[in-house]
Amino acid sequence: MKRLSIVLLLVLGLSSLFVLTPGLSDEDHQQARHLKELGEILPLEQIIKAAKAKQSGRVIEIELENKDGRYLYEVELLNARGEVWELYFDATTGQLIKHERED
Amino acid sequence: MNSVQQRLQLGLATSVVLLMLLLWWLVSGAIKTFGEEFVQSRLEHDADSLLSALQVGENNILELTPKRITAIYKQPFSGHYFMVLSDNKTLYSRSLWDESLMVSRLPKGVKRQWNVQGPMGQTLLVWAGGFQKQGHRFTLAVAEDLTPLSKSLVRFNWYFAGLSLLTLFILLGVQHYVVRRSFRPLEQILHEVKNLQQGAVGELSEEVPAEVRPLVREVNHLLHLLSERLQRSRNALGNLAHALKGPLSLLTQIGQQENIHAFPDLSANLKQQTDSIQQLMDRELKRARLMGQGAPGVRFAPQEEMPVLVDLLQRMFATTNKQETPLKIHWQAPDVIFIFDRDDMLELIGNLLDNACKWAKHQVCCELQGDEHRLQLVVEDDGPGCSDEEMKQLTARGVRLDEAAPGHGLGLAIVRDVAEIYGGKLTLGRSSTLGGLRVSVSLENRVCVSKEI
Repeated sequence: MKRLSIVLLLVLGLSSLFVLTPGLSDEDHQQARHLKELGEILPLEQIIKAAKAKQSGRVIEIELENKDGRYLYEVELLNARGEVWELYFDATTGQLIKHERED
Repeated sequence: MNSVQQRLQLGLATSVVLLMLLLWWLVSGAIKTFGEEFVQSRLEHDADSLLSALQVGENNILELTPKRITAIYKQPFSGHYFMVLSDNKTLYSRSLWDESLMVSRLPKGVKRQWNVQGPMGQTLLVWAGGFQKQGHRFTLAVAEDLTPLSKSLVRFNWYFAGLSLLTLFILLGVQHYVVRRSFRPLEQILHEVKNLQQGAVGELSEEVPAEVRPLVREVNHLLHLLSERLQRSRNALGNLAHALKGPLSLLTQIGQQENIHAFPDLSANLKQQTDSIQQLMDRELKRARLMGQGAPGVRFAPQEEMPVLVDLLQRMFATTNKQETPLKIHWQAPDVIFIFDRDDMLELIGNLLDNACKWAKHQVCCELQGDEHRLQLVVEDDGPGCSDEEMKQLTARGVRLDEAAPGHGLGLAIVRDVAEIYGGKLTLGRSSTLGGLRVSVSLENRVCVSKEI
């Protein structure tokens, strides 16, 4: 818990330097909530809508990553043919960055 | 709207629609209730396991043991959410991500549920309660997306509407068929009544559905009564004529007694009056017979009747006529069935032809025209014909032109009587083709015509 508080502090203060690790996935939504409230990133609903416009399917996982100071949303979609697609969006602008099939 | 079929169809359609609406209201209400109750009990169970997973951690803050949380609460916008509101912290399920539920703090022991709009257009059923654990008071809210439930409800509504429409159409079809089948006997009765009118049958068949049998029986009863009355009056007239025959012949004998001859005026007068009585009796008896054979129906088929009549007359006059070439009767008639009494028509045509044959030298022409309810009859001969003066006398009532030819005057009188019964007209003239007398009669069956209009 203490570690999380530190992480949060660091994220708030030095967000451009910090890289989120996958191990924190249980708490990533708290960060997303906080960043959204600050206006740093767009609401997830908007990102999912954009993803579904590009690729049909059901959302099976969402990850918020910080890469080189940019917040990225990774959206995993499962389509009707049983394929899982990964879409990367810029969480701040909502721009599609990468669109690939997970093999 | 005077059609039984239409009324039945409207009634059936209305009741089916009402029944289906009631059924729909009940069934869809029940489905919705069952679904929501199912969701609600699941939410309560989830709330129970969340309650057991809630612990007071360091810094006296409530926290959840991540391993004891179901995966569905971890997947963003999965449709299953929870929130824990305590004094110093609010916990959200990962599935809520950056969204929130509109939940306010509830006092301990209070439970409440309501609907709320969730992320991605979801409609959520929220179940919330106020609790206390390890000295902490908090409010736990669990929510589930009702969209799958409402989607299946919408699907059910469509299926139900389709099934209702199908049922309605099938029922209307079955009813249409049953009504048609039930009314078929009525068409048969109509047909029989037509036959009755044409004299083909004497009464209606009672092999009909129970609902119309009383009507048919009543009609038959009426027919029976009518023919009985006719018979009775005819009998009474016949009896009277018979009863009068004795006194009348007595009177005639008195007129022929020798002591009466002493008074020629008286004798002539007596003879004239007895003849007149005889003539009146003959006429009334004939007319009684003319009233038909008991059946109210009337039908005269010239193509069937004329050959017999013409043949009979030709044979009669072939022997009595002194001419070298036998008398020839030409006739012409349309192939229709006139709705006129057969006996009336035979009497009329027979009398006219008889007259014409009596005076004709070589040939007689008879022509019938018209349709079912209108008859135009022309009889011509090549005899001497009549002068204008004689014609005027003939048209006067009961005048006999030729005293020496018995029955002649009566014949024309009968013709006039029949024509009057049918509101027709008797016209005498000179034949332009044969040169003799031309008798033209036009008849109209007003009763039947007005019946059809």
